[in-house]
Amino acid sequence: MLKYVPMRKMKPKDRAGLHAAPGLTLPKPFSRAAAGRLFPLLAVLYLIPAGLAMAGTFSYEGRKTNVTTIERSGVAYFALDPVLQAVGLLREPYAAGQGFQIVYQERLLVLGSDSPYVILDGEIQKIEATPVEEGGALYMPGSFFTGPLAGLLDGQIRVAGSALTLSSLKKREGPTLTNVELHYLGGFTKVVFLFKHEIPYTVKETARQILIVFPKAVQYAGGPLKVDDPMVESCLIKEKAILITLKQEDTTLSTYSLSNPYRLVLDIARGTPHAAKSKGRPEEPRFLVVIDPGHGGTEHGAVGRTGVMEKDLTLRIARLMEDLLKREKVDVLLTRTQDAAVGLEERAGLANNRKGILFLSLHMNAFRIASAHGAETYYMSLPAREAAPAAPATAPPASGEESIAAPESSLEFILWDLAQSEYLKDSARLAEMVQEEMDKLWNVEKRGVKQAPFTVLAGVTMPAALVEIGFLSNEEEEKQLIRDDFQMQTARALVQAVDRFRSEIGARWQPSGE
Amino acid sequence: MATLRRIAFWIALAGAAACQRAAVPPAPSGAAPAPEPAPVVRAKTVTLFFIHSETGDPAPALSTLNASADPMVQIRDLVGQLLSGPKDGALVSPLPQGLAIKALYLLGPTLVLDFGLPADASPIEGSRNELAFVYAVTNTVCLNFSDIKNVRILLNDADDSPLLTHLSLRQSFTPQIQ
Repeated sequence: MLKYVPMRKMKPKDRAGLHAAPGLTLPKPFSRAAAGRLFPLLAVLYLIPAGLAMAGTFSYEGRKTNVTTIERSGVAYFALDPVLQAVGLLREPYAAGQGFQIVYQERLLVLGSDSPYVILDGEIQKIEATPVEEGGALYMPGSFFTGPLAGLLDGQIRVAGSALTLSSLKKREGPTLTNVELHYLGGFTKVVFLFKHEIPYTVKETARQILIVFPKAVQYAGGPLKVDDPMVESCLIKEKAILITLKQEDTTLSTYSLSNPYRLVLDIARGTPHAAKSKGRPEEPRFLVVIDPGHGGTEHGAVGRTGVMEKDLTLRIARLMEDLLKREKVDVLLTRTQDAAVGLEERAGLANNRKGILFLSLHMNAFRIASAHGAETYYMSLPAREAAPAAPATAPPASGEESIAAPESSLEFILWDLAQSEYLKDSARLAEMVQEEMDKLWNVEKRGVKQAPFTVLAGVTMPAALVEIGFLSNEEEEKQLIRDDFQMQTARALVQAVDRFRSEIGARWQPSGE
Repeated sequence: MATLRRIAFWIALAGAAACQRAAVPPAPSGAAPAPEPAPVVRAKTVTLFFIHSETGDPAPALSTLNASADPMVQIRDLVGQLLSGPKDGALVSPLPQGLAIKALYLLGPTLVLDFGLPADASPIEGSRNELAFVYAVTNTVCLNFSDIKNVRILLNDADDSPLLTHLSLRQSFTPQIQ
């Protein structure tokens, strides 16, 4: 059985090949004779480890706690447990795998005794060096206290020699808003509020105003917001609320949250007046197809020899599909309508929030082997169960009160897996239909579909597939792909696949009315 | 003084013995058991996965890892050889240029491989290239070290890198020959 041997426990000759490992300073390889000469000194040092330990302190709110410190390879380490006890915390076995966890105000810090990586709220962070476990105590390098632990406590920890000092913990009196962004993306405005932590909120709407209310006052260091947007008149942050005033009444609002970092996102689109929705008759059941033109803005994707960019081709074909589907009275949502960078999580969030029935992401392929050709269609593969404390998959954003929270805990992650697996079978069928139509388009023999962990597919809660329409790295295919008539043929083929899905499977997903 | 010299002698003797422990052959049956079983030290023939320069299919290449008692040393050697590229002109490497091993460690059956990237690394174009990269690494590691079931790839300590614009690194990969 293969066993991971921590480097500090390795024999010197076995460590020789690992000198490049980060965070560790290893001795130069030395001969056995030299080892024999050095051994008496090393043995004496080993026999009196207490002699290397020094008395350090941890100060918090005027109280001082004794903390043992040690030094290894020039790095100062502090015993972790006394520090945690001083602030009323505990180091416990990690509930979802190997290592330990520290929980503070619903936030989770995961660490391992043999790893220079820690995970704070799902984000991997690297610390200065691998922890040291000695005499039952776990010693962490100073950077662990100033970085991840301070982050967990939302405080500031300073290291001065053998003294650690924690400044007073910030009381979470209200959400800390760190940034506000407005992006006009052609037809709709995306307003993004970036918060330091997840925070509950409620949204209230009137004809021309959107009011976001928080349980406590919003802390925002920035000054008054200057808004220059075709749809938003103003954005005012005051006390427990954010008030957005619109320039027109006929808008549709979608609200959802994204994690890592926590963001509250509002998509304000021209369309049915949101305030009038509840007054009219119930909406007709609809089949909303979400088309995701891959890449955009500074992220151009693959580039052909002629200079044609993936982002432009995917948008053109998406628009053609939109026209064709609208002629069939099918509702269509494009995740971007112009040459703009839209995050993969945001694309999935938009699709979920608008309750899409089907999600199709359009891409152009590239490969270093120029002969690679034809279309390839993928659907999502679920992560394998593993011992590694994997960060949760991209959280699926959703809207309002029905929002699906980010899967922060292991249990939620499993539930998220189950929810995803519900769509997998139909995602596979959708991918097959798309691939069959693409094979006909390229006039190639039938190819199967594949599974892979695509980020954009991980976040959507509906049958979803990603099609690589053709290879821009293949000269012949590039010539085809840039032709208007071929783009139209491609759009027709993809719409044909969507139609087949609608007729064969779509009814199962279609809402029965609201 | 003589006592101190004697203590130093015995400590030095014990040290020298400890340094040679790896080379000690297993004790014959009936003899007193050795304090630790001797680890297996031998060279290992391995298969590296590249891609064929004409078909683009995964293409194996045989190689040898130096003898080592520690599998982690051999895995580092294995990935290093993969990063160095194929010796056979009919094969090409699907790995982005400039990658280097920053760290590697085992978490249960998962090998976490942290690659360093040059600052000017451009995003990989095309999902086929991204897939070829992650599966060349995963297949090479898992198919040569059967106790490793999957590989988690990090780029510059992170699971979110501009190098990959399609695939998610937030989950580990299991071997797949497509």
